[in-house]
This record gives sequence, C-alpha cells and structure tokens, in this order.
Amino acid sequence: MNILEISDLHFSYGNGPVLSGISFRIGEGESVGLVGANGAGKSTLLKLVCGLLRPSEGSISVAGVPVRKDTLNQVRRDLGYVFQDADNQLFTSTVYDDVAFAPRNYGLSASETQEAVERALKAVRIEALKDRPVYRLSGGEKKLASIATVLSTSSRLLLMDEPSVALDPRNRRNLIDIVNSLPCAKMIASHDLDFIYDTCPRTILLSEGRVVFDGDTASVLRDRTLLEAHGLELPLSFSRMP
Amino acid sequence: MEEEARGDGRLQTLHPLAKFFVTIIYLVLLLSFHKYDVAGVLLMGAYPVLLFTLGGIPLRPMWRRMCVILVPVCLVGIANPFFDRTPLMPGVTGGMVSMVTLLLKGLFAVAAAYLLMVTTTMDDLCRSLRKLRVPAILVTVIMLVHRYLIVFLKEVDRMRTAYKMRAPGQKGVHFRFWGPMVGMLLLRSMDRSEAVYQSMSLRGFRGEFPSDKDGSLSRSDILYITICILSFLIIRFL
Amino acid sequence: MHMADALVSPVVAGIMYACSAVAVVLSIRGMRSGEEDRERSIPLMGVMGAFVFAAQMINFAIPGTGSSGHLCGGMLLSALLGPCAGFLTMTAILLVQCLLFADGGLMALGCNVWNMGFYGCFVGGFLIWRAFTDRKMTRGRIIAASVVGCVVSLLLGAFSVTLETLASGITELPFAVFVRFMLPIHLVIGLVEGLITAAVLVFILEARPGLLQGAGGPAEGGRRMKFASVLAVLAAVTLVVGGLMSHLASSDPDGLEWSVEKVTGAPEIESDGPEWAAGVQERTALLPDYAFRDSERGTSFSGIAGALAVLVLCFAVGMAFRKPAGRKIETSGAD
Repeated sequence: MNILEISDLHFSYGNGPVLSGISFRIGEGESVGLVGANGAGKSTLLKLVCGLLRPSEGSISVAGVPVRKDTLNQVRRDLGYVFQDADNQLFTSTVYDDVAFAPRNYGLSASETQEAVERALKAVRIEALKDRPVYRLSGGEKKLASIATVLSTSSRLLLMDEPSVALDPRNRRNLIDIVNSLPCAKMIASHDLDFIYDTCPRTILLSEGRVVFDGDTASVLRDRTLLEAHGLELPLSFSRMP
Repeated sequence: MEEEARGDGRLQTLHPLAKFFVTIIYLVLLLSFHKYDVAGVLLMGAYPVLLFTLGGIPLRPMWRRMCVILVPVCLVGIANPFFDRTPLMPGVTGGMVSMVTLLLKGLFAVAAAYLLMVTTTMDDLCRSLRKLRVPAILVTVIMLVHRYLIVFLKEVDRMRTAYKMRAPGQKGVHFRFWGPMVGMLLLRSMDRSEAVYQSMSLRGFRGEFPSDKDGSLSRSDILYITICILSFLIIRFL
Repeated sequence: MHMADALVSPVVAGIMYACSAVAVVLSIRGMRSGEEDRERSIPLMGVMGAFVFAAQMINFAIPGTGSSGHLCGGMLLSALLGPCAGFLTMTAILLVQCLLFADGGLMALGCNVWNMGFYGCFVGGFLIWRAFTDRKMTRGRIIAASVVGCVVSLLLGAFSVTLETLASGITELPFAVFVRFMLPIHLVIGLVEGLITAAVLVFILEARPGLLQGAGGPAEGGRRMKFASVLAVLAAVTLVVGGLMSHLASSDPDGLEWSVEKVTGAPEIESDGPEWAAGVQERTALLPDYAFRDSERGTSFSGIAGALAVLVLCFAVGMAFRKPAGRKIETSGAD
C-alpha cells in the first residue's frame, strides 16, 4: 500500500503558481529525497501533505485517507513533520515533555506515554537527555529531539525540512545513521545533496513548481546538465569523481 | 535557578502546591504585621532562614534580586522618619521603626518568593496554577513565555553585539534604528509564532499542555503545610 | 514601576488581585471566539510575550541626554494583538518577571498587573489607540497614539501605585508629596517609551500594515468592545476600589491612641519634629488619623532581642540538619 499519494496537485499563494500538476506516490518504508533550488516549492509541498496549507486543485491522501479539513486529526497521527528550526518544534521545557506532548494529546495513558517516549528516544539514541531542559541542548541534540517528538506517535511517514542545516560533520553523520535506521517512510527536503544521496535511494527534483525528475538518486545527482539547468550543482560526493 | 529547582533536595521534592500555598500564607501574614511590630516581623524571618540553611540553597543569587527590590522600598520608607516622629522608645521614633519593619518585610518577602522559585520548576508551578483553576489559556501562555524567553534573549544579545561592533563608543541604540532593529525582531517573532502553532497543531494541540503527573499531596506535604501555617499563626497572633 | 510586596498590605493586595482576575476573565471572553482562532492565539501570545520581555532589555539611547529608555510592552502588544490578548500576554510577562527576576512581588502581582497591564492595554492600547487610528492609520496618528497612550497609561499606573501604597499604610509620605514625586518622573518615562514604541509601530506599518489592529488586521472577538461598556467597567472598578480602600480608614481610636490617651490624658502626643513637616502633613494628608492596632510588644527591646535569638537558633538548626540539593542533570553548553 502507498503511504502517500499525490495527484495533479496545484497550489498558489495568490501571486502566481507555486506548484503545478504534481503527481507521485511513496510506498511504505520508502525514503524519498525532495530537491530543488530556493523557491522550487519543496517546503510548500511538505506543508500541503500535512494539511497546513490547502491545495487549489488536486488531491493528497495519506495511508488511504484523503487530506481534508475534517480528516486532519486522523491524517496527522500517521505523519510527523520535522521543522527546519528545532526551536519551533521544541516548545515545552524538557525533552521528555516535548516527546510526550503528542501521545498525551492523543489520549494515551501515563504508562503508554512513557513507553512511547522511551521508544522514540531510543530510536534517536538520546535516552540520556530525557530530563534535560531544552535550552541546554546543543544544535545536534535539538535536531534529534525534534525527530523524537514526531516518532512518539509511531508516525508512518516522516516529513523533514532541511534536517542537516547547521549541524557539524559528526552530528550530521550521526543524523544520517539514525535516519537510515528508521523503518517508516520518509520524504526529506534538502539542499544538502550529499545528505540526500546518503539517505534516499529515490529523489524527486522540483523546478518552478513542477516535477522534472523522479527516480534513482545516483542518476540525478550525477547529471550535471540537469542539475545546473534547475539551479543546482553536483554534490561534493560526485564533483570530485573522474 | 531552573537547575536548582530540578534537584532532589528535601524542598524540591515537596508538592509544588504545598510550597505555593505556604508561601502565599506566609506573605499575607508577614505583610499584615503592624508597622511598629519589629519583633514579630523578625520572628517571621525564621521561615526563610530555616529553609535556606536546611536546603543548602545558595544565597548570592538572591542578594542580587534583593538589591533590585529594596531600592524602591527604601525610597518609599525613607520619608517615614521625617513624617512620623511618634516617640516609641528613648531616642527611637515611630518613623524609624516603621522604616525598619518595611525593610525587613521587603527582605523576607523576597526571600520567601525566591525560595519558592528555586525549589519549584516553572512547569510544576504552572501545573499548580491549573489546579487552582487559573485559566488554561493564561497558564499555557506563561509556559511559552518562559520557554521562548531564552531564545529571544540570545537573539537580542546577538543583535546588540552586532550593533556595538558597527557603532563603537555609542551608548544604546541610535533613534534612527529603533524601529528597524526591534521591528525586524518583531516580524521574525510573529513568523516564529506561526511555525510554533503549526508544530503544536500537527501534534494534536487542544489549547493547553497536557500532563500526566500525579496531583495528590503526600503525608509529608500535609505535614509541611500544617507545621508552617501553625507556626506563622502562632507568631502572628500570640 | 514594579511594586514590591513590602509596599502593599494584604487587603490592598487582595483587592487588586480580584480586580486583575476579573480583567483576566473578561479578556479571555473578549478574545476571538472560534476554537481554532483561540488555539492560534496562544503560541502568538507566548512568543510575543517572550519577544517583548527580551526587547525591553534593549537600551534605546535618548539623543542629547546621555540616558536611555525602553519599550512600552502594553501599548505594543495591544496594537498588534488587541487589548484582550495584549493584557493576557502582559499578565504572563509580569508573572514570569516576578518569579524569575523578582521584578515585583508575588503579593503585589495583582497591583502590577493592573497598574501596568490594564492601563497599558485597555486605556493606552485600546481607548487611545482607537481614538487616534480608527478612521485612518498614518505615521503621524501612530506616533501620537503611542506617545499619548504611553504617557496616560504610565501616569495612571504611577497614580495607582501612590494610592495603593498609601492605602496600605506603608509610608508616612503625604499624598500630594508622593504624587508630585511620582508623576513628573513617569511623564518623562512615558514620553520616551511612547517615542520608542511609535518607532517600532511605524516600521510595522511600512513593512506589514495588516499586523496592526484596526489597519484591516484581525479584530478581537466577533464583537468589538464598546467604548461605553469599557468606561462603565472602569468606573465601576474605580468605585469599588476607592470605596473599599476608604472603608479601611476607621474613625474609631485605635489601640495606640487609646494607650496614649490612657497614659498621658491626651489623644495625641505633641510632636517635637519640625513644624514644616507637620504643616505639610496637615495640608496634604489624604487619610488623616490612619492607624492600626496595638504594637507595644513589637517595639520593645526584649521583643526584638527575643526574635533575633529565635532567628539565630533557626540558622543553627538548619546548618546542623542541612542536606544540599543534588543535581539531577549535567549541564552542557548549548550553541
């Protein structure tokens, strides 16, 4: 079964189209990279998928449920959105409370919540930070904590917006390992093409609101002509290759 | 202060509602002492003295707060010796005594409030406020102000540093930049608040931060409340 | 203008807590009524509250004076969020200031919320803001509204501080002297804060005019607060507060006067202080003969010595049984 189905999606903020005729599917457990120049529509697409924006045309369904105003609660239980700025995602005072926020809101009992939190923290390897105040976290720790906040409700589809921004090399490598270990489906929007190469076997290239490529990551990231035509460059991993 | 409040000392483990209740009663009774009742006000000092020493709570951070609070108190009280010359004892007028009680009340009130905050996290205090039927909307806003304060303080600090680096020797922000400097920060704040709202609503936000911490008072909490309040009442009325 | 606990009596603190609590409840009701709107307002108020708190730490240099001023939070918040949401945000800010920074006492919080939040948001940020900007939103009107709003709300706040302190019987300073000291200072502060606030709001008008209340921005509640009903609430509150406070001044002789009368045969001891002080007091006393009950024990040397001895004993006991709090969390630097 497909966890995400998008069909002929159109969206505009009012001053010209941002997305035009977007269609693709993501299967259970699949990892898909979303790349494109600034203004290509990556973040907009992620927000449409989780119902933060409404399309002007077309349809989106998550786990077979169409994304509409009346189905948002149901859809969002299967989704997790990791914001670019972790401070927007971590709004309680401790890591535990932030990770427990969603389970508590969905009515889980105290013991179920504790179990869900511990499972999520274990998945991102930050069990030791459970009681740490959020303002005491480093940038890398905040990123992992923000991922944990969406894993605690057993999300089947993880949407990540620029996850490797402002991470040092070690934290970035750690994040790649953790993302690869997560069994859920993922759609990762990023300018870090090397990160996409390391985490997503499939990549969708957006340009001026349209899908111009949807296929094998290595193929698109080796294609200098295609990348440069759409405002991108060869990633470092490929630019040094003969 | 938050770090201290998360410790596992005797006072930190007491129920926040018990500490809150005792602090309020203490303040009410402390402030109700007559302006000439120096001995009574001094006796009330036993509560903060005992708790500071028993809890091993550092005093230095409190002194800084004390200075902030005591300046206006002194300014208000300094007129008393001039306008109240009622003789109470040889060489001592009512005005002098009332100034001393005012200062002592100020000192002990700050100490009591500080004790509450240094042994109780803001989260626990907010949960206590909810138990006291303070509206959820206000409590949630308090928690968010507390959470994002440090984010904005860091941002303001960066802005001030960037400004100072490019305007050395200038004291404060020049009036030409009042609007743009704060205005840009304000616009970023509004955008951030929208992102925070989106993040909250994606995780099932229903208007307040839910909690599954147990709300009942233990025997030691009840004992603490009883002993404290009885002591305050004895000092006040006997 | 934050009041410390020592400056209010429990009765005055209680009255002001009640007034502020009523204002909080009415503000919650006055906010936008849809569930989604209300939920959306919460992070907005929280983040804006943190912003105002932090922005008030910035020193704005006042040209030609060598000194600096700060932002007026109530006015700014009301202009952006509306008076109800602005007032709730100010309440949250004042509580956090009180608890984290001891800016203002816990008992005096009701007074501070009223003096700074209520006047700033409803008088300055609503009545005066609307009076100037309702028909048209221009730079000049925003500057005028900000300056007048800040000045008026700060003067009202300073006046309330005077009343609350005097009604609490904390100071012997005569009313007129106190007022003459407080008001001019707060007039100047209000002017400066008004100009700083105006600068920020003018920037917003130019950058994102839709954010300002009344400039096509979101109006609070489905129904705007009617001017007449606001005035009615203000008048009612003033009557209650004034009436309750004046009730505190009893005409019965108190214990001290009674003791003096019994001992000396006269109701009052002749003061040997300077005549000018007595003259000032006579002319300016708002609540003459305002005194409490017996206080002999409290001022005797033995009473004070005994109290000091108890304090020393408490300290010794505490040191003997102290158990310093352990640290649960290891701190690490955040970036």
